[in-house]
Amino acid sequence: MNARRILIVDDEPQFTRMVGQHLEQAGGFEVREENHSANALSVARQFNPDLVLLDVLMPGMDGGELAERMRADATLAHTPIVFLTATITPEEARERGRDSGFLFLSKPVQFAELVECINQHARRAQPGASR
Amino acid sequence: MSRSTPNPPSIVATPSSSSQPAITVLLIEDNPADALLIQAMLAEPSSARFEVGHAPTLAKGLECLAKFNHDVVLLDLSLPDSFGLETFDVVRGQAPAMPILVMSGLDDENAAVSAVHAGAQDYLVKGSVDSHLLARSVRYAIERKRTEEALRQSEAFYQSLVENLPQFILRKDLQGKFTFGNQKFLAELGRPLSELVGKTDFDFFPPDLAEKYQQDDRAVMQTGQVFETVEAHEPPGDGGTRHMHVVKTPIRDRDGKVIGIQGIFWDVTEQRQSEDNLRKAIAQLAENREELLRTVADLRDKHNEVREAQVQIIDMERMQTVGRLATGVAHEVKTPLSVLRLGLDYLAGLPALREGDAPKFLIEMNDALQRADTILVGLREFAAPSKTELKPEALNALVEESLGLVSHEFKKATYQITREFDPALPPALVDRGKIKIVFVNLLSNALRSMPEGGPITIRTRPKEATAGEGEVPAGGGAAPRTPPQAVLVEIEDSGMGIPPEKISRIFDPFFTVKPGGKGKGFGLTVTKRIVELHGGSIAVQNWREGGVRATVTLKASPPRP
Repeated sequence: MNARRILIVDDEPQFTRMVGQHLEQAGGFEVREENHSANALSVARQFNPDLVLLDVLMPGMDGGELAERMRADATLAHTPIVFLTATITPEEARERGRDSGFLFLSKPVQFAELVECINQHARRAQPGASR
Repeated sequence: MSRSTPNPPSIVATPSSSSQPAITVLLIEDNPADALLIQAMLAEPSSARFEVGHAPTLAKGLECLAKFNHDVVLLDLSLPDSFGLETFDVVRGQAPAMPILVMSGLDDENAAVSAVHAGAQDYLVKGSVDSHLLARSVRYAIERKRTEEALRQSEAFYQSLVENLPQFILRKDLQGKFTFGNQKFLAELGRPLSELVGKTDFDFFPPDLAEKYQQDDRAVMQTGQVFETVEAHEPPGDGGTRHMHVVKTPIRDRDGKVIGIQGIFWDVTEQRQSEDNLRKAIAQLAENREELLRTVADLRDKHNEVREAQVQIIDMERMQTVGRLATGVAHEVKTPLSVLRLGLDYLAGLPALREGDAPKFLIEMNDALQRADTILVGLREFAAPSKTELKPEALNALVEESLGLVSHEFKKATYQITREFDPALPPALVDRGKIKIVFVNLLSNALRSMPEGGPITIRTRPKEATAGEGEVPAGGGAAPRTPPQAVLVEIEDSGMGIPPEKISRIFDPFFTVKPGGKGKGFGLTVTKRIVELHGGSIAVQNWREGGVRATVTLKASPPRP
């Protein structure tokens, strides 16, 4: 069984590491952590994730802009994107997800919630897709 | 003569010749025998002493009159240089105030009588006079002249008064005929006195006016009472009403019988006008004062409004600064919280930590993290309150849900929760997510003020519109029962209460009454802010010893038509 590839982009290394380790510990995930949004697009093209976890407020390019660029990219256009944001409540996150077509999770997020979201929205890992 | 001899000793003092000033007599008489006789008669003792000067001719007499003072003149009308009445006229002409006693012979008594008519005090016929009569005549002449003079002066005095007074003065007899009018009145009528006397009001005034005057007169004459009034007159062609102050008094004879009336009147138009003007000025002044007071009150209100607005602006600026800071803080703190959150979740999954005290600690940590997150939500809510979406909601259910959200607090002590929910509570217009923050904050404040547990009462009730509030239905009749304008939620704890000196600051950010930094000092600020966003109000007060009552007033949803 192929692991699902998860790209997590957040300027906070502690957070990306925690998410990464947690997911890997749980099993069934291959996690790529990226703390610089400027690098994220090329990393994504190369990694070809099944789902992207994206911080909203980041120095340099913010999550919103990064998401736009991914949508514009042929290879990433259909990759599910989950925004992780500290500025809204869980209720608002659900609302905004409905309105924008993106997914939102409010920080701090419970691990179970995170996993459920990934399982629900990540593309099915396809054997051919991975190298 | 005989009267002068025996005098009663004490009652009437005998005029002693030295103490009583002598009466000086100028005797103008050409007949030496007559002159001697008269001097002799006057020298006889009587009640008065006489000093007699003698002039044999009119010229001499006039000379003496000019030179000396005399009390009386004894004048013979037939003199070498003057004769008859003319003699009297000349003397009178020179000394009008002098009492003159005329002497005549039997042959020219007529001239003497004429002299008396012309103003002589008396006349004596030579040869039929004795000393007693002479002395008495002299003295009476002096007295009479003095009285006449006094009368004349008095008359002149009154005449001068009557003619110079600015009032119109008139008199009428019982038949309403004029008997007198002063110059002022005559001038007004444009007639001399002779054309006034004997005429009536009908001769001078229009019939209706004349009739009115006579009626007034008759009333005075019949009642004997003074009549006083202010009459309005419309003089033809003059334009403008004239006002006359009229006083009519009865004239009585010696026996007190009314024999006519006297009228005095004067123009008070200007006085009236001044009074009117004064009254108007006073009214105007009062009005101005009222207006001034109103303006001052308005100004005071405006000043208060401005000051309130100013305070609000300062408040808002401060809040905005705090708000920006809070947003930053919330965001920055949430990231490490996220790390902790996931870390805790991870630890909770480890089999090694499912034994001993570890699960308990994990729960505590989880709880702490939850609380920290709640604070951050509150901070954010305070900093940038998102738009409220007001919908009619059942408050009882929302309060119940909020109670559920603080249920973790219940584990710490034993609380008796009393719910006094009005089952017929009308729905309130609220944003359910936000209003729950309000109730959660108030409930957790209540719970935390009672670390040892105790009773808490939660009450919901409608607030009826009080008189003067809301709209009064137009038209009469009984007002229909107005639906409640607002709904109240009251939370009463039995905790430690708020120190009175601190109660005014409880809504300030970062202010807390909880000891040892236990509280976040932020809950009530956010709470108030949210309630205000709803157009509602919140009051927090000590409601009894040691307890706090928080009252949230929210708009009721208007009933569906």
